[in-house]
Amino acid sequence: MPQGINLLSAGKQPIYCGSHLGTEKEGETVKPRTTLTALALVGLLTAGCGGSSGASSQNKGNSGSVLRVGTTFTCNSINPFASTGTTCAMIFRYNYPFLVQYTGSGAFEGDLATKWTTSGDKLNWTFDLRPGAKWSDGKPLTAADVAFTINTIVKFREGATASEASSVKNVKSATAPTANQVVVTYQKPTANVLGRLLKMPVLPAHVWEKYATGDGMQLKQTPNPAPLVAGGPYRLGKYTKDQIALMEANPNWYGEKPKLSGFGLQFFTSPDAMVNALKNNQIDYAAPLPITAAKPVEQAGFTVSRQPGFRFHDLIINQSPHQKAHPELRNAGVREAFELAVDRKKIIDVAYLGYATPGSSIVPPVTGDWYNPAVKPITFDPAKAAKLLDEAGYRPGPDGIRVAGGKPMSYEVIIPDVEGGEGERALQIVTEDFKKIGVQLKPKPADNATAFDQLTGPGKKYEQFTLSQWGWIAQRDPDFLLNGMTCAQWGSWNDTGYCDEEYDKLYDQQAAAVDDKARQAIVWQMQKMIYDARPYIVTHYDDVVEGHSTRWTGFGQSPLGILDSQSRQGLLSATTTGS
Amino acid sequence: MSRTGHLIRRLLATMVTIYVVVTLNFLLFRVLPGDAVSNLSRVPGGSPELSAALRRQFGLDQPLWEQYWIYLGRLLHGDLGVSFTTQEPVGDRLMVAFGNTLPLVAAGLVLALLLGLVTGTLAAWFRGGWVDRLSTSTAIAFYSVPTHFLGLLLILLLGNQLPTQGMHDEFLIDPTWAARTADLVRHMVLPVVTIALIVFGQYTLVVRSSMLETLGDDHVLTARALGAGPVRTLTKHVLPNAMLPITTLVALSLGGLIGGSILVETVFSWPGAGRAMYESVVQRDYPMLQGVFLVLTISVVTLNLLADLLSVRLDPRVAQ
Repeated sequence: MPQGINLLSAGKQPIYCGSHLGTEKEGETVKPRTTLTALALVGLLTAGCGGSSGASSQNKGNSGSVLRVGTTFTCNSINPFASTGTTCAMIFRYNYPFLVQYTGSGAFEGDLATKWTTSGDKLNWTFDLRPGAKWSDGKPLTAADVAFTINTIVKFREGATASEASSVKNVKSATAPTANQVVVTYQKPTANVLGRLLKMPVLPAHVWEKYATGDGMQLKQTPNPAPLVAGGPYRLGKYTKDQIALMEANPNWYGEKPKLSGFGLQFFTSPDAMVNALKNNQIDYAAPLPITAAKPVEQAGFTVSRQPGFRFHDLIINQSPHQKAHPELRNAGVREAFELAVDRKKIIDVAYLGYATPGSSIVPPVTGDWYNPAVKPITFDPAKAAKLLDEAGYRPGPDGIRVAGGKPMSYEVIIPDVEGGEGERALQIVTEDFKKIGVQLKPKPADNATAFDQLTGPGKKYEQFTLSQWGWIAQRDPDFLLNGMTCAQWGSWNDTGYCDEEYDKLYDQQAAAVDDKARQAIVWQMQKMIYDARPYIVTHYDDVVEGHSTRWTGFGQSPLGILDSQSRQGLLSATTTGS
Repeated sequence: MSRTGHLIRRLLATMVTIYVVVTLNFLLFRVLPGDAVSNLSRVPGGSPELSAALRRQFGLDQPLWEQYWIYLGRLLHGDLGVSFTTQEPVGDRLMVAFGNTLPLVAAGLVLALLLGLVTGTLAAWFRGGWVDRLSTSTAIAFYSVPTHFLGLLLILLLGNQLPTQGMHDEFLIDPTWAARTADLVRHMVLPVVTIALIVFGQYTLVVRSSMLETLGDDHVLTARALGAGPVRTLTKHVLPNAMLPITTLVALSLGGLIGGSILVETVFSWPGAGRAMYESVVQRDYPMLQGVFLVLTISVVTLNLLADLLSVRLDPRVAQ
């Protein structure tokens, strides 16, 4: 077998193996070590791992086993109000209950809520909850917890709970008329109520209410140490920053028992080391797999999955009126010429080794009905691009670089490190093609914080930068990305200096459109506006590429891969193959 | 100058150096482009109010000089502040990070020293021959290799035999102390070997040069003329006299190694000071950055001082 030495047969120490964790009693906290011992004992007895020298979760073919996931995406904090990044959100997705979840097809299904109704004026949403639900510490999980979470986020949404505030947009308050029913009252009709609430973890009031006092900053400051009190299918039993997040089955979960008895996320800083660990049976799953490793990993006998993803990359053209050095960038013809000079196919084939699809809209096709199919990438045509620039009066100077307003069309392109090696190669391709039309690009690498600082500049006016190459990871609902182009997001999510009142009005309209069809029409219109204005030239959508041992199967498909922060489809059906 | 005078002068210089570096640490990270609050408030739903609240919480709304005095005041009380990103006391995080880095660096240094002593001594003894050429060219070759490249090369070559990530197998079930230690040692092998291979070259060259100088001394020639064998000559008459520059170099390189562990820790996902420094720079976590650099500064300055004092001890002429 090409995976290398089997560490178990080579005398490796016993590996975490078992079914679910020991349960907790009310008021008691089980220490991780004790928990692991309990897990080990239960695992040995029930999962057939047998033998004091242990066995691994991955080679016994039982369903009660632990999946070892390696990832290069770290998690900075396990406090939902202090964390950033999708990996933390994925941990919360499995640890905490949510009112609703996404199904594999992107539809909504009940989670803690079993059904929901809305009033005629769309201001009151009533959710019926599962009766008899319990937290992992045995305390009742009721509507009071849901109401507490919503009201706390609402109360401190301008400060400590801002990171969760978008999930309760326009919410006035929440009440719990009974233990199994919660009513959420909105200030005005709001679009995508379920999609917003779907992002909000329901927190145990008995743990968090002591922090929800004063200015609420304690909510953000508490480290919320593991083991967490859980209401989801798994409980975060152990967390060591930059090393491991270990999820154990929550015996009190109200849903169908998951097939895995647990999973661990091991955080790698080097993708190459992660690939090596996969090949050598030190982990079972690598997410994401570097695209350069996809073929070798597949040839080594592993399963490599590939599917269209939410992430896209774009060339940003500064649209701020405060940017004075190169006013030609506000000329629509120039931006169209730039797009004509972007060879998407070459970028995908050479830089991304084919693991991407051409991009056009800021709402990716994987969002389904929200994607406007009329927004299509234009064909690479450098001759036409040159012609457009000629027509605009920007003729080449003696050095071959065009001159606009007395200045050479030479631009620094800020590229943050998150774009990685593929992004750098993509920019090299664009730079070479732009040279052919008489436009000089000079890549300017920076770390993410520096890059964003350089984009917004002093006073958040976007005065200085000209071009940048960056990207986004979209969500299933388009609101987040559409919001990023509004004037209100200057200095925050807006990275283009684009500001259009008409666009902002449309944004508000879609945010209030409770009818999906009506909202879709507005969302499509907004995508077309952005495409025509070209603050972004969306170059391509990344595929999600992941690899795993053939001893595992049943992973759900998701545009966010196994680390999906919005759905539990990725892991709930996963199991060993028995091989 | 007397030994005491030399000591007082060095101690004063050390204190001034530490104060200057503490001040530079404070200013340096604040003039970096990028900002901790921008990072932390850039969340869905982030608002100017959140930014203001975070600035208040971190004390960044105060004038710079006031932040500086608060920082100095806390420092004098041994309070390094609270990490912006994890909300944990910086002191606690540093204890863990440096506690993880020190065994790695110490083991790497010892191995490098052994390699350097053996290869340097052989090169000097067989000067001009193939052993000399092989030793010195190997030393220079390893010294020139980029750390991360060598780390990745070792992962490719030995990754199927040894762990390549972290300090422990986090999936071990309730391991015994012995099992846990054995696991730690296994995880240390590749990063330690990487450090040792990168560092030993400079020791080889210094040992060789120092030995060659000593080998030509009259007392060595006399010893050999009196019939001392190669081993006795080396161990009794050459090495002790050649140790002075080596001792200094080891003390100096230890401080540099702790700071320079960033690449090794990144390649091998080792949760130490280097990695903490990298994460803090990326996230503009000022208290952590100040803490890491403070400890590094004190380490380097103290080790410099120790090297200096040791030199005086070994060779009193240095103090003259």
